[in-house]
Amino acid sequence: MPQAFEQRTEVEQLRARVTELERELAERTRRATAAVAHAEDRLYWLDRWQIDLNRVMETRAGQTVFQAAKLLRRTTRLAGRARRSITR
Amino acid sequence: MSERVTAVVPVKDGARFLGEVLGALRREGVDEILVVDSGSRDGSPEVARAAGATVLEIAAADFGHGRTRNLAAERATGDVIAFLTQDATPAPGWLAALREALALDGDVGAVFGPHLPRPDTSPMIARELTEFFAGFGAPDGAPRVFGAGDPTFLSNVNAAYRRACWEEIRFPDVAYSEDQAFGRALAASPRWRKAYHPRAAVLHAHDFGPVEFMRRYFDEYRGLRETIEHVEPFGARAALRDVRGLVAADRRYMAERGVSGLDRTRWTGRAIVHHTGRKAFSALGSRADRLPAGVQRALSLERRAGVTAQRPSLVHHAAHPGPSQFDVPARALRSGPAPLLDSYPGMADRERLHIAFAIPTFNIGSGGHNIIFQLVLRLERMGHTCSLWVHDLFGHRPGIGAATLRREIVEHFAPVEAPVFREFDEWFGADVVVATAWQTVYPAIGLDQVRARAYLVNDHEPEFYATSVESEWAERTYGLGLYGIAGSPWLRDLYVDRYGGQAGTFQYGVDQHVYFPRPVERRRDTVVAYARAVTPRRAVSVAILALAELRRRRPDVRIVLFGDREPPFTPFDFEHAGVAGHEELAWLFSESTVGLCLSMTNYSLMPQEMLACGLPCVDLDRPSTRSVFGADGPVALADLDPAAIADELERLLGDEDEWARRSRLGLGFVSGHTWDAAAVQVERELRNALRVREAAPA
Repeated sequence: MPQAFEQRTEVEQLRARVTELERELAERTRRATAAVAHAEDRLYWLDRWQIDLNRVMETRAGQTVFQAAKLLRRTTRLAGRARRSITR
Repeated sequence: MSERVTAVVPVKDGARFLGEVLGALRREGVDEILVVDSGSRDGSPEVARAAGATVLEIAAADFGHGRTRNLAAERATGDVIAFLTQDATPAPGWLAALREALALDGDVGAVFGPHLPRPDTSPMIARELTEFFAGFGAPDGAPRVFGAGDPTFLSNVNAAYRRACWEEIRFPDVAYSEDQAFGRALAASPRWRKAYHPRAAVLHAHDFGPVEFMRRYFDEYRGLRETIEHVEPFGARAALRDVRGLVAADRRYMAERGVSGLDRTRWTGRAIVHHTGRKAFSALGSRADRLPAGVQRALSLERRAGVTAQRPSLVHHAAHPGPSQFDVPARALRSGPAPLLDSYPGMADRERLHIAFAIPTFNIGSGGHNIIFQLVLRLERMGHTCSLWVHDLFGHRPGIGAATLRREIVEHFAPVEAPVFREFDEWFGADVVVATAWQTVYPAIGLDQVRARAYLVNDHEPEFYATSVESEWAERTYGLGLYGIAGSPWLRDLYVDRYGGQAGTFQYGVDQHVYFPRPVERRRDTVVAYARAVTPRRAVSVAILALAELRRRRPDVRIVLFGDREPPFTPFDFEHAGVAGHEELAWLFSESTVGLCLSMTNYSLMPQEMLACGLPCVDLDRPSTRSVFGADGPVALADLDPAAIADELERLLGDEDEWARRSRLGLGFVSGHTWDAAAVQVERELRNALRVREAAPA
């Protein structure tokens, strides 16, 4: 009788563990699918125009545009910093 | 012991050389001579019999170069069958050379030898033959066995075949060039090879008149086109250059053989005519299929019109699989369903499920997809995680990405949270995978990491097609063991009773935030009808006949058609709303008097949306509509008969009490038909699908 009780308890514990693991899996699935959906929403226009940005950036033209953008950003920052130091 | 040789000579009016040919064959020692005469009037059969040949006489109409030689080979008793023409006289040593060539190798199935010019042969033909056959022999003058990539030329003017080789390949039943066709088949044979022996020669060529020669070339090149699809190239400048070169070669040939100056001049003129005529008539023969039959007969020495005109013009296309994925059902039917994950107690009652919907690709406005996305939205709100897997069996929308599809769903159907995947390459499993159309069942049954498979059955899809692969494969999906979630009691009964599946049902909802009676005066003269003619199950042709009948009875009735970009052809005038959006339709339904929406298979959402706007409507009296609306419920049902439909429309237009009763019944009917309620029913059936798995033996 005590052995049967112990077995039942063990089964219940195992079931509870399965339920907990299933709940964790469900949560992970929810987060993963939400992340994919979010990424799809962000990529909409690239997807719509069938632009592979990675491939574009591997080209010389892509790299030139990228370097120019970096230079422009740095120049803007320096100019802003200079303006702030003058007007301080 | 050497092999028995039968010589076969097809003859028609060939008495001029026949005696000489048969005499040479006797001299060479062939074991049997078989002459096939096809209606000679010059005594050829008597010449043959006198020479000791067996004569087989056939009607001229029965003659065919391939057919007749096959017949002779069947009658011949030899192990080797040599074919000669009636004017090809074997040169001394011919038979010994044939035997020698056949003995070169056990896989030599055919042997041919050169054609030598007779004394009266023109220099043009003599030179051509000499040069042509010189190209086949080995450099040391020995016999040669041909291999892969060598010329496939073979000529029944002078050729011998091992019987086993002929039995395996046989001559095709063609009008001309049966020997060339045999040569090509032999070259492709993995078992047989061909040999050439320069001493297995026959005296053959003799002279014809220039016109006769041209017509022979016409026949010859027409035959080459018919059998080996050879088309002789032709260009005026190249032809002129070739003729000049050939005439020069003839003159050299004559000079080498000491032909006198006068004769050389005479033959030069003849050579110019000969080669020019050959160029022109060989090109014409190659293209005889473009000539009228009468012209062909006039140009042909045989006086026949070719068969090329009837040959299909074949164009080779490189392999190009295209965007359709018809191999998916074929593969799934062959390999069967992938194994499901093990079941465990309580899996059907878990609070949150991951439900993967396999959906066919879609266009904005698709009613079936609206049902799916409305359900997905509600299932998500109930706490479940959904994912959408778009399968494009027919390749309707190649190149459309998942992000674009998701945006279309969110903007035009329902603001779901589910990510979208194109096809199943990134499949990562689910609690339940739900196929939503016949074409999605096949990829769905191949998916692993799944606890149960369900099938959202919105219609009896085999009825969408005439007898076809599609109809057959659509029908087979019902027997693949998926748990059915049917869009009407009629569909559920079909699934269970006809196909032996397990199924539950759900009822379609109506978006009652959109479809409700709008504040607009109800007209008493307007019939609004769904007329999407490109969907055959919508019976638009009968709807138009019914409306024509109604207009005949009530000339003042106003008719509004919608559902298609293109207005249909009708015998009455009407207003067209095109593909109207939900909001526009709600207003249209709210101001109209009667709706007309026919469905020959499962009932559609449209009548419910009309009812939700207080608009009574007419549909077909079918098992599906009856099972949903009842025989005398909110929707007036009519047989597929224009007059019967017009009767119902007229009754609702003229009988205000009946109109009010149906309108009231309709509003009551749809009040319980919400998408929330539909999603609860679908969730129940998804859990039932898991319960069936739990109960199934491991």
